[in-house]
Amino acid sequence: MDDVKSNDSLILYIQNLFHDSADLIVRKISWKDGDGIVCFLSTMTESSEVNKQIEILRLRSIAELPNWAGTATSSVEAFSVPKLIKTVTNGFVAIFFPATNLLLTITIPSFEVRSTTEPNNEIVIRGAHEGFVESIDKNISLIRKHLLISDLVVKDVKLGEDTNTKVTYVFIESIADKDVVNEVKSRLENIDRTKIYSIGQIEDYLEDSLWSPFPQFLNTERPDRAVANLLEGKIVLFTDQSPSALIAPVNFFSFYETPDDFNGRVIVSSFFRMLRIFSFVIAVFLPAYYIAVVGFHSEVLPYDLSMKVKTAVEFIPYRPIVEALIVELFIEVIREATIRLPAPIGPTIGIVGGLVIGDAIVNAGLVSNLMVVVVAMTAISSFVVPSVEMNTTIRIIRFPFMLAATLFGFFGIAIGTIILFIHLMNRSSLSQPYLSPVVPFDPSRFKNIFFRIPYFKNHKQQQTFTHGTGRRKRRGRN
Amino acid sequence: MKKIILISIVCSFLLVGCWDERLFKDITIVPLIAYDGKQGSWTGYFTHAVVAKPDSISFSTIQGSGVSIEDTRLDANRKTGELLDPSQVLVVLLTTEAAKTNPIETFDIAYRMPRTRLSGRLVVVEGDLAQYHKKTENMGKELPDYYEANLKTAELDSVIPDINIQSAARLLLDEGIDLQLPYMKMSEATGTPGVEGVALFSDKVFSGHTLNAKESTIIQILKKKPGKSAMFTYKWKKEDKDYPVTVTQNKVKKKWVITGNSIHATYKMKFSVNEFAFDHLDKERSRKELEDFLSKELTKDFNDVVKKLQEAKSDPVGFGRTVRAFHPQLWKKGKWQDTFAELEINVKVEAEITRTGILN
Repeated sequence: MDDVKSNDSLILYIQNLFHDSADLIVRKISWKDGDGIVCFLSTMTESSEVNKQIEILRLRSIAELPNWAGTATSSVEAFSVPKLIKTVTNGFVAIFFPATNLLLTITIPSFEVRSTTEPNNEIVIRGAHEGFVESIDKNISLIRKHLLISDLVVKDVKLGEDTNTKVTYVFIESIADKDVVNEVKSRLENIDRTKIYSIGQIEDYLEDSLWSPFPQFLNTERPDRAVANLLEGKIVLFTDQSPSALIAPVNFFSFYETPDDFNGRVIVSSFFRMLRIFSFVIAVFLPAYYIAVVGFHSEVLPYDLSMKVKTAVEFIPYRPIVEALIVELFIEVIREATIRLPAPIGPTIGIVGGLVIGDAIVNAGLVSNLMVVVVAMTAISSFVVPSVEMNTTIRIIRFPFMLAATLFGFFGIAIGTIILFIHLMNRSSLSQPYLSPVVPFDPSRFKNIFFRIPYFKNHKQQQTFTHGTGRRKRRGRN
Repeated sequence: MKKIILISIVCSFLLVGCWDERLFKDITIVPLIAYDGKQGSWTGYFTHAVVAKPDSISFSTIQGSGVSIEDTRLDANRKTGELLDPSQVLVVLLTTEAAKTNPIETFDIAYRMPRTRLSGRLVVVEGDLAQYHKKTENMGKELPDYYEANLKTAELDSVIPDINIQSAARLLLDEGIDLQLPYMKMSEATGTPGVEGVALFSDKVFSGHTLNAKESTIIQILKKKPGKSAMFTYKWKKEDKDYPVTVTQNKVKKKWVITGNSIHATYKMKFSVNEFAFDHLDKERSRKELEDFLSKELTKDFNDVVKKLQEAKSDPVGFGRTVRAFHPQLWKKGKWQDTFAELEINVKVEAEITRTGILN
C-alpha cells in the first residue's frame, strides 16, 4: 500500500512541476517489477504511438533482453527531476520507475510541421520548389537529401537558459575552412543570453560589424541555395523552429546570385547576373544623380533632353531633394503597407497607391513626372536583388547619397562612393573579406561576378576568399 | 558638450555646398547666341527658352551689349527673368565683322569656364543679325533646332567641315592650317537662313573671302575629310544634248609633291554614278570617256578653288602642316599664309568610276 501511496504522491508532485497543465498526462502503468509512471505532453506526442512503444518495451523487458530499454527511439538513464522536465518539454515520453530509480525516455514527438512549400520571398523559375520549414530535423534532412556524403557535419549548440534553443551549424568537413568553423563555434558559445528564439538574434551576435548597413550573413529558406553554398565551403546555421538558414562567410556578390543562375543556360544567366549588378548601381545612384544634375550640373544634359527636363521641373515648388523624398517615402510607405495587407486587397492598394496617387501627385504639380520615373525605376531596380536583406540595405543607402548629391552635386556622389567602397572593403563576414574577388583581387573568381562560367570548365575549389590566408592570419603576421 | 559639437558638425553639413548650387528651374537654356561687334564693343543676341506653362516651350531673343561677350550676357541677364545659361549652346552666329576678331580672344570665357558646351557650332553669317532671329513658317522647328539641323545636313553633304568651338581653337592655334567656318546667308526667296558655303580665315581672323557650296565640298575633299557623302554634278555634252551626270565620291587618295616653290597634288578619286541618263556605262569606252570628262572638269574646279584660297591667303586644307614637318626651308621663308599665297600649286584629279548603280 505504501508503494501505491508514494506513487500517487509522485504523480501529484509531477503535476505540480508543470503547474497542472491541461495537456500533461501522468499515468500509472504496471511493469514487470513494480509500477511505472508515464508522463508526457499530449499536445506534443502522438498518444496512440505511445501505447505501441510501451507495449514493445514491455515485451522486451519481459523477455529479459540484456539492454531491453535501448532501442532506436528509447533510452534509459538515472532519474533526476531536471531530466524529467527536459524530456517532457521536448515532447518526449518519460517513464519513471520509482523502484529502480530509472528514467526511460521514448522519442516520438509529433509537432505540426508545415509542408515544404516554396518560400514566398525567394521564388525561382527553374530549380527545386521546396523550402525549409519550422523543424530543424526536417531542414537537415532536406540538406542531407542533396549531399549523400559522410563529410557533411551537423553540430548542435544549445543556447539560452530560458528557451533552450538548439542552434545547428552544418558544414562539409573536407571543404570548409577550419578557422571559419572554429570561429563560428566560439562565437556561438560566447552568446550569453537567457532568451534566444530567432535566427535574427543569432545573426546579431555572429556579425562582424553590427552597425554596417550591409548584411554579412546570407539569409535563405531554400535548401538548394544552402547546398550550393555548402559546396563552396560555407557554413549554414539553423535555429530550431525557424525556416531561415544563415549562410556565412559570404561576400557582397553572393547576395546577387540565385539558384536560377545555376539552373539556367550560361549566356542567359550571365546576362541576368550583369543586369543585377547594373540594377544595384541604378538603385543606389540614380536618384542622387538626378538630384545632382537638376541642382548643380544641368550642363551635362544633351540639349534635346535638357528641354524635356526643363519643362518638367519648371513649375515644381520644391527643391529636388524634397521632391525626391516625397516620392521615395511615398513608395516606401506603399511597399510597407502592402506587406501587411491581406492578400486579397494588397494588389488593389498597390494600384490605387502607385497609379492613382502617382498620377495625381504629378498633375497637382507637387513633383515632376521625371522624378516619378526616376524613383519608380530605382524602386523596381532595388527589388531585383535576390536577397531580402540586401534589398532593404540598398533602399536605405540611397538616402545618404541623395543627401550628398543635394549638398555637393557630383562631388558629393564621388565622396559618398569613396566612403561606400572604403566601408565595403573594411567589412568582413566571419573574418573573411566582404568585397572578396575585387578586394583582395582574385582574377580567377573576378569574372564570376559578371558571368556564370560553364560547369565543364575546371573550377578551383573555393575554400576561403583569400587564397588560403585569412584576415586574422595576416593580422597576426604583421 | 559633446552632443552640441556633434550637432553643430552635422548641421554644418547642411550649410555648405549650396554656394555652387544652380537649380535647373532657376536657369534658362540658351541654345542660340549671335554676336556682332569688334574688340571692346560687342552686342549679343541670346535666344533662350521660355516655359510659360507646363509642357510648352517657346523661344525669345534678348539683346545685350558690353565690352566682352560675357559682358553682353550680363547685360542681357538684367532683362530676363531667369539666369541665362550658355552651357547648352548649339549654335553661335558671328557677323562677318565679329569674325574679324580672333575667336580665341573673343571666346576666352568659353574656353576658360568648365561649363561651356564646346561642341556648339560656330557660324559666320552675312548681313544684319536681327533677321536671323525670326522664326518663319517653313522652318517647321524651333529656331535653334532649325540651325542645328540645317548645319548637320550640310555637314553630312560635305559642304561644311565638322568644326565646333573646341576644334576651332585647335585649328586657330596651329600655324600650318587655317580655320574655315560655315557661312550662312539669308535666302531671299524664302526668308530663311541657309548654309552658303564656308568662310575662310587667314591667320586667325576672317579674310573676307567665302566659298560657295561646291567649292566648300572641294575643300573638304582636298582635306580628305568629307562628310557622309560628297556629290558633284556636271553637264556632259554628247551629240548636241546635255546629260547631267551626278557622282558620289567613294574613296580618295591624295599625293602631294612639294618642292622649293611649288606643290603638285594628285587626287585619285573613286566615284559611284548616281545619275547619268546617257547610260551605257557597261561599255568600257563610254566609261573611259566619262572618267576623262570628270577628271578634266574636277581638275579645273579644284585648281580654281586653290586659286581662291591663295587669294584669301587662307590654307584650310593644311598644306602648311606637311610643309612644316618635311620642308623646313620652305616653312622658314616667312609667315605661312604669305608663302602659301605665292606658291605654285597644281592639283590633278584622276577620276575612276567604280560603281554604276543597279542599272548596269
